[in-house]
Amino acid sequence: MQKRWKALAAIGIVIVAIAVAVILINRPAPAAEQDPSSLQASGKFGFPVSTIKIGEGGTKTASDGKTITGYNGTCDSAVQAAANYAPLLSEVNLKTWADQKRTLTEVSVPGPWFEKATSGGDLLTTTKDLPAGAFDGGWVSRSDVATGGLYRVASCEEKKRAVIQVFIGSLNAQVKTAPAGGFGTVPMELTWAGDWKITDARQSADDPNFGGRVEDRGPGGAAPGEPTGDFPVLNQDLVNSVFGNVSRNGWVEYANAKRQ
Amino acid sequence: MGGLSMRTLSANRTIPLVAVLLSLFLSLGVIAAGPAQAADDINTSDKLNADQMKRLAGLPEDQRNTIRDRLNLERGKTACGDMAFYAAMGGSNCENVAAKAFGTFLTTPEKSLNYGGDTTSFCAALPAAGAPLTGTTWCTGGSIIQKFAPVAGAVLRTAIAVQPGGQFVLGAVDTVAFIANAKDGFEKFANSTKEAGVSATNEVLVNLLKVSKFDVDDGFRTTWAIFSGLGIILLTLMFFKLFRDYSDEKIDPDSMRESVIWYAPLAILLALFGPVLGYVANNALISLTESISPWTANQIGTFSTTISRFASYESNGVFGPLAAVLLFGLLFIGAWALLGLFALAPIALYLLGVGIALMLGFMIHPEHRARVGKVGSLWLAIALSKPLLLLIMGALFSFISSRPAFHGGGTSDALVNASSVFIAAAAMVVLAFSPALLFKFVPILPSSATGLGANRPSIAGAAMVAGAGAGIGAMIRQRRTMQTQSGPASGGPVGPNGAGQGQGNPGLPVGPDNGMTGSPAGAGTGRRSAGRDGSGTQDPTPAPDTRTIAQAQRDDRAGTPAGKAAAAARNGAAAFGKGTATATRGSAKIAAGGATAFLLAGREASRQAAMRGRQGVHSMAPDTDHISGR
Repeated sequence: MQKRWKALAAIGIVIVAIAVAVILINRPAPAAEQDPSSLQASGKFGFPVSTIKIGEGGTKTASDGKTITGYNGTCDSAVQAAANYAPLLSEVNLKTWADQKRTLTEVSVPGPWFEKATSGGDLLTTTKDLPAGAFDGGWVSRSDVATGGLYRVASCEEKKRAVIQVFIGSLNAQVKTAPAGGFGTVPMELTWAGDWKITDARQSADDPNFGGRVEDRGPGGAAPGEPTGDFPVLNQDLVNSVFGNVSRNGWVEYANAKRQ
Repeated sequence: MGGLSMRTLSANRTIPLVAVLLSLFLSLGVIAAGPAQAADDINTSDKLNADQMKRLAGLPEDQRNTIRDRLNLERGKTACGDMAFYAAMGGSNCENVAAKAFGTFLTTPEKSLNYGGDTTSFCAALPAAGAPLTGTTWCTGGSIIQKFAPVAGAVLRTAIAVQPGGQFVLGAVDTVAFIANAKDGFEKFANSTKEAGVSATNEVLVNLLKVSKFDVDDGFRTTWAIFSGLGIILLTLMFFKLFRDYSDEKIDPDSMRESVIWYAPLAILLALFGPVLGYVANNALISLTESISPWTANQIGTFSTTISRFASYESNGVFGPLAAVLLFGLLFIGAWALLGLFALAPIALYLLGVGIALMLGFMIHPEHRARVGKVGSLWLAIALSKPLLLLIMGALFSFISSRPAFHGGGTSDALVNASSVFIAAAAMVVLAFSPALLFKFVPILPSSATGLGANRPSIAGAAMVAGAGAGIGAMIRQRRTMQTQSGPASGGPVGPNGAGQGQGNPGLPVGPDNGMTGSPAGAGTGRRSAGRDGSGTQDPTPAPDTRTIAQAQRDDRAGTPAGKAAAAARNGAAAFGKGTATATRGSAKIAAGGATAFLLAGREASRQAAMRGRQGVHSMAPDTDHISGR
């Protein structure tokens, strides 16, 4: 009888061991710590989504008929202004460059930054033997804020000053192929002068943190694969690649960002 | 008869129990290993894999430089593809200038491959490379979009493939049909066998190092934590068994003291620091492997030339379709077996690792302690086998590459060509199955419980038997005579004992007449056998003259041969897994009582001996315990 008792005990131990192991293994993994944020991290790629939309906020339009102006001075309106001004700082169309420069003048305060920010467009419009490649009526570089659809407020004081980075999608003319898609970050300093006015914009390669005003140069990079001629669509892999060596802290999604 | 059947049962019980534990252990391991494996996903389409990088590292310097220059030119092309940059750079010479600029800071092919879009260095290098001011200005301030993204995927592969050594880095191989115009099904089969054999060998060999990585990582630590938790539960149970065995006098006080004072804390310490030890050992071995693998990768690289030679073989004389099917089929099997071997190493290490965690509790019991050591040494052996295998592989493949069939233009001799395929295939098959020998050298389970090595004496066992058993041989024979004369009281228990051994270990010769002939089992540990010999006789007069001096000394050191006697009678058969035969307790006590008084020196020993003596005298009364099977 003793032997049977041992056998039963052994089986019992095995059963207990299985039970313990199953419990231990199925124990829920400790939930990942969430960033304490007033906004819920509910975006498709884990960024919090704000209620602020691209293409809203102002009461008037600039002379080009599409750039919205006339903001109320809140930090939310600065975020809206940043989204609406970003194309002026990142697009180049050979045919409408002069108009664009004029519009940029309307929404900004002149300074040494202005020449730097417009040097690319100036160069392209003054070069004589320009290579072929401009698309859809003169576009060399075209941007779509909603494709990127993220912003980061580096600093903001209501009706005073705000430094904001906007993550945009872009389409760039290529010499030999269809336009190539890519992503980039436009930083800008907005100062309140009855309306939000750009007082500095566009970091250079040797000044990635925008004169110490932003944490890092922000996400950016070319879309992989052969150029298709269409704006790239953000997906998780692309997010991982454009955020490869920059921080994800502070980035927030616009309510009407383009997501699949 | 009841006793006999019960003991048979007890001997048999261990095997299913071990099987149940093993299967439980395996299934848990598989469950836990699943997520760990999934986390290690590799994106193969974009970047070069680890093996390709290693082969790249092993290329001659001039070939590496041409590959680097080619990659930098690709980068230049990508950068200049952008219309704005092209315009800013002043057009036509853009690509070369940009490539030169990239070349100033991407100085190795690896750096060029891993370029992450660092525009600062690129823009800073532009003026020195001869770029116009506008190009530099546009580069530093003109673009917010990073266009200089890493070249990857198809472009990269094409760029590398056209360079000398590039095919070797990528591990590509073209196969020609073995029989140009296959007429019937068999010839077609020969063609496809050849293609599969050659391409599988090539693919497997160039990707070999990818599958065999084992890390002591967080996943492993979590699993270890779970299993060491169970191990500590087992430890407490083992404590119960330990105390029970002690009170049954199956363990002498020395072993008990050792167990409680040394092995119990050691087991807990190991439960805590096992992963740390494993991490240190594993990392040492990984660095060993890392130092060997470039060399091996190069030898494999040379061998891939051999493979491409195979790829060009065509039907010729006796090397016809049948030979092709057989030889290339063998090549195919060898390649996959090798891959399987390398793929199994990490899971074996993983499972054995958590197995050790589970077995920690066994360390405190002298009977089971050896097994923990065996599993530990098997873990080390498998971990060590990888660098060793890589070394052997390198040697084998460099030998194969030096065969006449692969020199210069090769040979058209059908037999030389066929034999070269055979050599390569055989080498891989031999390599692939060599680690199975590990289980022969380090037998964890009773040889009868594993198919592997069954009916073959293990090396370790043989060594033990040779060492300990030889000195006892004569004594056993003498004992046997005494045993047969000693009457029914000892015949009862001994017989079933022998039967139990027979059950547990069918491969060993067990004499039907006498339990003592089962002594090869007991002889596994000389000490126990000696003690058991003393116990086997019913004659209370000691027989010290039959023991060698060394054995007597061993017994004296151990303290109580009587305890040993009881333990040995019970455990001798269990040593090295020769089955768990129950013991001749009654006769053991009787015999030991008389024998120990003469044999022992030292206070502790005498006290024990006296106690044994008293017990022995009590036991002189008819004792039927052993008959009822207890």
